Amino acid sequence: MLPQVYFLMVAAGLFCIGLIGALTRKNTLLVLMSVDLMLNAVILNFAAFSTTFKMADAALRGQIFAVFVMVIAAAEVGVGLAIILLLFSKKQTIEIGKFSSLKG
Amino acid sequence: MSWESFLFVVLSALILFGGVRFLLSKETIHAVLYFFMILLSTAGLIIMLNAYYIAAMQILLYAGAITILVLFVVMLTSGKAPEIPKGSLDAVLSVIFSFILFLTIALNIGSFKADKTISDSAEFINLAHIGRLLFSDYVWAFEIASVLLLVAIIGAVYLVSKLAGKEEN
Repeated sequence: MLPQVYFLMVAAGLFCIGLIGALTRKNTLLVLMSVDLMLNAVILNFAAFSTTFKMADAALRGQIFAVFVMVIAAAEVGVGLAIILLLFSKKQTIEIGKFSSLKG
Repeated sequence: MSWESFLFVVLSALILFGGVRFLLSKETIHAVLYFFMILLSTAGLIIMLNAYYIAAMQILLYAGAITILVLFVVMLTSGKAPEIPKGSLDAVLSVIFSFILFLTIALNIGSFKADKTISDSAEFINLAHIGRLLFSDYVWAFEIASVLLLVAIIGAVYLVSKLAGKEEN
């Protein structure tokens, strides 16, 4: 039987990897994917916390919250990809450094 | 080493290896493929936690729908992924701060008792129970999530319809 802590460590490591990706990648699509990795780490975290309980409804709350996190992530990726397509049609590039027309 | 520990080590190594290769990849398609690998390995870890419904939804939604959408956008935009300049201030600072965050989380989690193991809870967590809870206790959140998905669909279709309208003109 594996302790719960190992899964939480993996989720924390995945979160930090997604954070590095969101801060350093220059392609907007890869930034979106890194944010998606962070949300995935949160889902793993909720699943790990939910299955160490012995009573049924306490164990299920984590899983239901993980379901809602997944729904939010899917909606966010859908709208984010539409925005990326619009940005590409305007500027012919999706590099993050080029979208600086609001820079004062 | 027991069967479970070996499987856990393999899946965690796949996640970490895929994460590092995702960060260091030079081509966008390679990054998408490593992303896919991370998603499948995470689904494997969630199956080990006896959360079968979340693992199935992860494979359907994340590794299925989101990866395909991202691949479509990669095909349509066809941008390269410029590699991260190794010595720039952005990369070094972000790695340092992420490592500090990881140490903060890990040192606080490390004090959890190691005997809190994954219980064999497969006998009472099943899809019928989750469905019953979603429709009784969490029905507000369920309906609001449905409305949010509807708004996201309408928004995405409207945004892309402006693209199609522009091309016709």
